[in-house]
Amino acid sequence: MSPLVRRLYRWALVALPEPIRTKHGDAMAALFARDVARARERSRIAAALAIAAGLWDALRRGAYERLRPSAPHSASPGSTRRDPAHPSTPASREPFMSGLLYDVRFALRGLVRSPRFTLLAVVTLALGIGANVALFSVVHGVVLRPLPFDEPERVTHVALDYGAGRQVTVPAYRFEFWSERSRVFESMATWRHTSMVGDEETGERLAVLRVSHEFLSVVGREPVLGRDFTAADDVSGSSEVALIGHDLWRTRFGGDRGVLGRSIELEGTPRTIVGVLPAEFDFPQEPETGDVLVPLRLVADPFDEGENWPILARLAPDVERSTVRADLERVHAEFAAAHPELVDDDNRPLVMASYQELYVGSVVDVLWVLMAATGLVLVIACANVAALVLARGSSRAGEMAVRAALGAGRGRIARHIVAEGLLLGGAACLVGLALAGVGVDLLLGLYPGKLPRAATVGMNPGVVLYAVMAALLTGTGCGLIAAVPALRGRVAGALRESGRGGTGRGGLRRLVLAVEAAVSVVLLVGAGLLVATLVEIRRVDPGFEVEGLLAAELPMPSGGWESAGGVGRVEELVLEELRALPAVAAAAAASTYPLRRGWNIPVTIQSRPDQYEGAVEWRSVSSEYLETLGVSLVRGRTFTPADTEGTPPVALVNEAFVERYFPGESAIGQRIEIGRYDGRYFRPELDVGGTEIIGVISDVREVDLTVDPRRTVVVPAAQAPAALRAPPVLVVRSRGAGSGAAAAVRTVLADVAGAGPMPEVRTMTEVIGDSVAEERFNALLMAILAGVALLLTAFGIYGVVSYGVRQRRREIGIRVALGAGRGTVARLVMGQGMVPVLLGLAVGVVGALGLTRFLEGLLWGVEPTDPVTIVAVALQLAAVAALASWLPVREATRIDPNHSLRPE
Amino acid sequence: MKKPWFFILLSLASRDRYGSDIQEDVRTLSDGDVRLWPATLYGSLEELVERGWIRELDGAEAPADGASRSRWYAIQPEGREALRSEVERSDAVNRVARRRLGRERA
Repeated sequence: MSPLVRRLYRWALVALPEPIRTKHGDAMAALFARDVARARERSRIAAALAIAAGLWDALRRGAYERLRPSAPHSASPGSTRRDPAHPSTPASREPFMSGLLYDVRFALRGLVRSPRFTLLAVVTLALGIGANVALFSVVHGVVLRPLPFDEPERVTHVALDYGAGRQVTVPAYRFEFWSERSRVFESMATWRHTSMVGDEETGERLAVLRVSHEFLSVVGREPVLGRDFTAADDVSGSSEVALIGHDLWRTRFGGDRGVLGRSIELEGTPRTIVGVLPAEFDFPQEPETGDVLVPLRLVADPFDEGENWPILARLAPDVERSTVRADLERVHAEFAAAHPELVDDDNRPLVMASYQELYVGSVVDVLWVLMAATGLVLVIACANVAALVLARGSSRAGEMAVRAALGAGRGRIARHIVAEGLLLGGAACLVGLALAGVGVDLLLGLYPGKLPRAATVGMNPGVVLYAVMAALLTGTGCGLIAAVPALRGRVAGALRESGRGGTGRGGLRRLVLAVEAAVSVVLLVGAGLLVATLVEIRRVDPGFEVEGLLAAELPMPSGGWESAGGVGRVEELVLEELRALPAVAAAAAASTYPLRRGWNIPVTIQSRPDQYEGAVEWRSVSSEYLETLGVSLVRGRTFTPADTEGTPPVALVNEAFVERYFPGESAIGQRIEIGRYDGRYFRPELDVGGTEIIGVISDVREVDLTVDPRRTVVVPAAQAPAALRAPPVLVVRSRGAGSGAAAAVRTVLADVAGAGPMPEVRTMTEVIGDSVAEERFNALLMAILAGVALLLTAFGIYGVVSYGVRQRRREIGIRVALGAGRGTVARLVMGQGMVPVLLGLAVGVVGALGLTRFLEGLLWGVEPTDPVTIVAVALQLAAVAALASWLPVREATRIDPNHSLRPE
Repeated sequence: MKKPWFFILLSLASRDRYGSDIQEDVRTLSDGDVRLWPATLYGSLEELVERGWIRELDGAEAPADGASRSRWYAIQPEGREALRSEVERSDAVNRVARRRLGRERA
């Protein structure tokens, strides 16, 4: 049993009363350890259940022991001092209840008697707790939960260290070198996720993981049937084999144990099934868990830098982290010595990296920010409920005072209030958990695309424990704030005031209000900055005409490319048909469309061989490309049908390219070498002796709206080297809005696709919308949270001010009777709400200035201390506060002195 | 009678035992149905001691075998009496149940 579990159990035992804990604590802990150890022999799940059952038992028994009506525990052994002739009466019939149970019953009765207060308080807290629990369960599933591997603490990623960042993947020859030379790893593996057609008839695709042969030992899983891959399987030329996933085995092969030796066809290649993966196999590094595993057969060509591979490794048992670091450094040095030709100035060392660092990365920031935001909302909810409890406390001041006068100690009264808080917290916890269930679905639904490990998000003991802790904290928190006056012992004052309506607790209530205002400001500023980010991004000029532009992938004809005369022929025919459509103004094919992934490639300036760049955006396009996109030709000429295979290679470059390499001179006629980096072509066939720049085009934000236009070269599709050719995408410019172009394009493409999969026709507006999906998610969620905070604060202000009006009826009546005008009364009442709110506002702005830097990573085009946002937020809060206090003010100015001064 | 009490008394009715021994015995007695988790076990033992139904053996009385550091418990006449009346009560219920079921079958 881990020390953590042991400690957890010791903590849980604190629930028990002290005497029994002292007497039996060790025995209980020992017995618990034995129970867990036995359960562990059966399975991990049994052990987890045993741990949960043991902890629950300790907590439940603790509650029972403390509530149980009984004589004090006697700790001495052999302690039955009772007269055996007179068996004791059953304790449950004892007339007097012990303290806490009494308090709870009393509080419960009180809550039931004022259902409106109870409902409001529970709903407020439940919203806060629900939001928190929902966020926590996402954070737990995505960030905190260990990976689904055997002994996950021994599994580590190995990545290139770029100081600030990590690069997940390394060239194949490095992977091979490392796995051969390092001594601290038991096994090391790399993989690639692809999807392959697994059934020719239905076209059903399977998620395939191509893995190096030690993959399963790294994740610590063994096939439930058959064998793992061997080194021999991982060599090209050996027979084609596959391991199939548990689900696929059950669904397609009916769980038949005779499946070994049968074959499964992937992309037309039959593979022999050699094993079945266990049901618990899971690999969160990839979006889909593999239905099928096949050997990767990596060829470590030292000159192939194009494809890169991630590394996952299992550490040998009991290796110190420092030893691993030293070993990685040693192998790094050995590599540099063995392959000086492959090492340049930028030779980065390999370091251990966690899954969270590499895969969860940016999501983590968002999650923690949202988590903090929901925490703040909970603070406000708490403050509101505390204010409610306080107000109720004062309206019951008389009752309390009488109780105190009758001999209830301050402690007793405070305890009663705390018990009330706990009951509210408990009820809110249940409702909050239900809300959280809905909230989690909502969050996952709203999150754009790719939340890592979303599948493992859900209710589990950790989440429930968190909810209970949140409820306990908020419950006692509210209770304690509300109990302050009772603790201060204002009993005599309350008795006196009960007759006239006092202001005794006003100070505390106003403090609560100031806190709410301050917290709201922080949230509102956060939300404001995220909304401003979204607005800024949407204002960016993408460099092409978004309206009326459609994009789709070229569909594969149902008979395959070859039977239709090749990709080029299909492209030509489809373009012809598209251009003939009346709704279409222009159409073109290209290697990709903006904001979609495309190739980037090294480029060297031919006349200056020392001027080269590793990653220039590369696009190959058909005729009419510029017209279709609405990109303008700034200088020179565009492609003509004469620029085709066999004629001298030509290219267009964008203005960013010219600015970097030909500032102040004409780029037209200059020659570049596409594919050449540091004197070497990364693929020999790319060496065409240089390409002439014939024109300059305007910049397009190809990668993302938030990324400045990248340097780009555009070549005619006919001259694109075979190595870079792939089925193109189509871009279509429609003639006028709402011309039905999308439907017409769909008809043409459906015709080509036949029975095969139909590509999605998307409008560029949608594409741009998707590209800011993450920012929209951040802004939306923060805005919701800030809105809830603002609403709760408004309720709080209204409550405090209207309460103040009720309490000061007489005073106001006297003032009016003495000649105070409406303005004076309004100022008096408004001040009650506005003064603390403005104070809180000031504090909140200072706080926000300090806190918004945590948002920096999520902002774009806005400073974390953006004055516009801050001023807007301040005005907004002040306006809401004024509105919330206006209603009670109206009530106050209508007070008729005749009524309020009449004796009670 | 509460389930843990019943089974603890039942277990101690055969001989004096210590904590984990009781837990084990109860599990066997109930066919694995009743698991006394530590806090419930020791809490119930304290309750039963308080009621005078069982007592804790003094150090000198405890058998000096392997589990010497454990606390040993012995059932008291009141405990036996309580167990007996519980068994009789449930016997009565069982008789009624059997009769009614029998009538149903007929």
